[in-house]
Amino acid sequence: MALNDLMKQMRIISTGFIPFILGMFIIGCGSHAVRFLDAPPVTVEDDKHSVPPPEKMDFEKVYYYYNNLMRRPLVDTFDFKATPRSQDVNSMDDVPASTWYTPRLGYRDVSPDELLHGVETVGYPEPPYTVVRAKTSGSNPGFFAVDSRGHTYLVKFDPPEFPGIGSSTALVVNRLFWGFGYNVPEDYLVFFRAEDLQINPESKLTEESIEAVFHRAAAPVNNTHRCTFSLFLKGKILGPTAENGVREDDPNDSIDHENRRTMRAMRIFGAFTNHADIRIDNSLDVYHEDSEDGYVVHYLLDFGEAFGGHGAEHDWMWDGFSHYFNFGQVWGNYLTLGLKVQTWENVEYTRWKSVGAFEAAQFNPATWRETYQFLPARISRRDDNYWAAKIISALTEEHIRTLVNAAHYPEPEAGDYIVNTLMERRRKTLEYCYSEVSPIEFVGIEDGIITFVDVQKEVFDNADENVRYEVSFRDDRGKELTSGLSLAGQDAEFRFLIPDDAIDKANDYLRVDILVNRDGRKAPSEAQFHFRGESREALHLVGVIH
Amino acid sequence: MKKTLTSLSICLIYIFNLSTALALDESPDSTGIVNSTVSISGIESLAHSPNYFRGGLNALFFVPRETISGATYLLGRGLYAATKPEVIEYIEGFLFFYEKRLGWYPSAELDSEFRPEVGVKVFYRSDILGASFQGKYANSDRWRQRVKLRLDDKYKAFPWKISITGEKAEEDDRIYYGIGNDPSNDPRSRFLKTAEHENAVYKQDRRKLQLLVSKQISPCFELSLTSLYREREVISPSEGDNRLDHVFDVPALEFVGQNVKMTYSEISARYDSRNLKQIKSGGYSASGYFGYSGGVDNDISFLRSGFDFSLFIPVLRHNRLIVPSLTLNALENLNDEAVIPFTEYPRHLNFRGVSSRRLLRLDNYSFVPSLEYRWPLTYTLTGYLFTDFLIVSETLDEVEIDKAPWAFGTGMTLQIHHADVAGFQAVYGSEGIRVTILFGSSFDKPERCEWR
Repeated sequence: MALNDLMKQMRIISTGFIPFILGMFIIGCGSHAVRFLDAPPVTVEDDKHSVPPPEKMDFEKVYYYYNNLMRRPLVDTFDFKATPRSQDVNSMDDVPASTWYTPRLGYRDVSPDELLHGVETVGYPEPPYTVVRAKTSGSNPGFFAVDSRGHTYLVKFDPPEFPGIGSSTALVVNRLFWGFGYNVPEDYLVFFRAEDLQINPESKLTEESIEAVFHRAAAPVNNTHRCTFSLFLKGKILGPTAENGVREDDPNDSIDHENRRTMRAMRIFGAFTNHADIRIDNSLDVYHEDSEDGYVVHYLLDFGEAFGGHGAEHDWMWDGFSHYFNFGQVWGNYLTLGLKVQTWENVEYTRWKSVGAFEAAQFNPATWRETYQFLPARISRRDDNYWAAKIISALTEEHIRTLVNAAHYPEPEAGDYIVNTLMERRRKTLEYCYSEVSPIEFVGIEDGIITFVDVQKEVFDNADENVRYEVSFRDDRGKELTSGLSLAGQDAEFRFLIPDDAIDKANDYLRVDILVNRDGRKAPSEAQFHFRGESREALHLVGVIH
Repeated sequence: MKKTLTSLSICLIYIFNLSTALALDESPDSTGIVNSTVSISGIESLAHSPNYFRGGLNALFFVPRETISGATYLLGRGLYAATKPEVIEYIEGFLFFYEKRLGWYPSAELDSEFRPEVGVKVFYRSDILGASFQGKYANSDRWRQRVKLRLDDKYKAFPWKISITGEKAEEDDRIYYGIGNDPSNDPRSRFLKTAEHENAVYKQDRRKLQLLVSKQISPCFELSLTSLYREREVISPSEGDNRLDHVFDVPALEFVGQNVKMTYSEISARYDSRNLKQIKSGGYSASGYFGYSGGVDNDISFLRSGFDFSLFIPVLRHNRLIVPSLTLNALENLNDEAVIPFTEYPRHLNFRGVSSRRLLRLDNYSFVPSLEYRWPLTYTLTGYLFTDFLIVSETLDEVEIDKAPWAFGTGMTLQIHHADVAGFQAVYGSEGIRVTILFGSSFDKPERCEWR
């Protein structure tokens, strides 16, 4: 937000104060009755139009932390607007492909091998490595190096107290986020000996300065250094991706970032992987030039501090459980005299240095917190979380084990622990996200018989639970057309015949709402399935809302 | 009117983010590709039911919201401007020189009882040597300057820490209440029969040269030897109803208006079972000292001794601490022929109910029992509640707590890298209400040996 934004805001206030107040009184933020177009869903957001290179955006570190941790939470205390639905969502409640997102897990078969290698384009770095310049930002030791083929990498080492923690995590979580659909750089786990390294004489670096880097890093094992090589992104580097608003000099960037589901869903992906260090300087906009066309692609970076890494680096046991600063937390703790034991206070370091304090027992996806309040994550809605959960549900133990094996955890059993922990966090994450909506997906319709699947039942296959589906039939204004159905859940899939009078009264637009009642607990919202068609045979799905 | 309507439209879009609704008529082509500038939601229309409650709250809080937003925005931009790398570089260039070996820090202290005090500390540091100058100023009658030279070999080749401190101060607004637990009825206080006040204001000029040698015997245990020479002159102000010579029999107090020269030497030891990283965890600390003070060009001669002991008892978790503590300071006059100046009596620097500039209760023995509860508010903030008592007596057999001043208070401190850098404290007690705000690099709590 620049100064002229503030001036604009002040102008609006000064010229339209009374209408502004009246407008707020009259309209408010109420419920919506949605009517979908009779059109195929958008599957590709065409945001690769050729545009001139935008300006580089600087990361205003101090203002960013101040704004995210203090200013915005304070101002938002007095803001009662409802969070709007994500705007990069199509009629099927999915996210189309874009410069932000590529559908992978959950949308097509991604084999474990593809998950491991899918991100790779140039392949494993090849020695010798020539150090070309020092790494000046970030807390982990490292430098920039070029491999024998001329590819440039950011080389990062593990902290001395936690050998293996960053390099293992970087590989696993980089691949996971690729699988989730994000653009990520190619991160490689590399082992090298000192003789594989040489210094570019023009770099002004000396052997002493490289030694100083090694001194700040985990000690080599058998004279072999362990590190992450992160391939330098090609194109013009434009700085971090703003977490709200749009890049005004990029015409392709038309949806406020905080209203992108891909950004909001980082709350759930972050919770699953404990990637608490979500902040804009761990993202990067890059201007890609394909022949004559140029457009901006949005990347996520730096996953080495997910799992237990960020907490271990700073000895922050609360990492993932609490923001760095939070007014509510301060006053809450003050007024309760700290008598409430926080969940994170039950967390302890594991016995593996490469794991840190990463765990699943105390983890609660509902109360998970990124370190620096990240706006899209803070305003993520149930449907955004559910979308993320559907993607995570496509992740199998085999996927995770493949990544963990490739990460070569330096301590025996640490790999197994990571797999088990991730699977348990996956279970908790899915259960939470499913419980916040009616997790029902459309399977098909034939002659007025609609088939749905209960995703939670499908994933967890819990035969003991008592599930009922409350089905109602409505028109495009949400008015109930006929008496609904109450179905007992047996299998994951269930089907029913749409009543004749519902079709008769629907007037070409029928909405089928399904509310899940699981073990006596009603879901907070129903799943809406919007159909168009004049007859039973012609009915077809045009929209879904969770 | 047109301008108002335009503003209204902009406002509504601003409030409700209606950009989706503005592009509802666009539909994707058969390939499913749509330009991102039009809606990809596939929504044809959106029937809106107003929520008067939310709207009403938004309207009600519009002014405070926008005021806070604007003010915090400007504050943030100022913060941003002040912390831009080039500004930091400039500030660092302004504060530090010679690879940060030489530098200075500002500080400030706001106390509801006294005028604000601002200060500055200039330092030089090398691997084995440190030197600093510290100055504090409130007005022309209250200022303090201190020069310190420190030898502290961080490579531990030299096992001792040695420091030499020179200090010169003028301090007004100091308040003397008399001697004993009930000063106004204690004959040792020397109140004038005509006194209309229960205390008196005085000023003092002080000069001190101190040598301190200490050795860290173990990570938890430190032994120190201190020797100092000090000159102090207590002066009754020339104005004010409650000036010293209007309330007390100044000739009987002796030494008032004279430059009293003293030497003092002590040995002290301190043990803290917690190391720096465990400073917010359970354990205990204890310290004790024993010293001799003799007058120069006068017959004053007395012994000082004392100890303080604190227990840090974790409750619930390691970082919620109940801290009972007791501080005892004692003085024994070795020459009954000589009157001990009231400024030499043990002080109550741990008692938080009043500023240390008030000599609230003075006697041969001074006890400050305290009970404190500390708990974390957030990663960098710690809250605390405490109650302090101040008990003095002429002898150990006559300890009375009936008229002991008391204080109950709360506060919070901001710590960065295990050091207190700012704090707020509010106290209510027998001496009234006291509010203190401290920030800056010299967040220095009063030293036990302030009377040295």
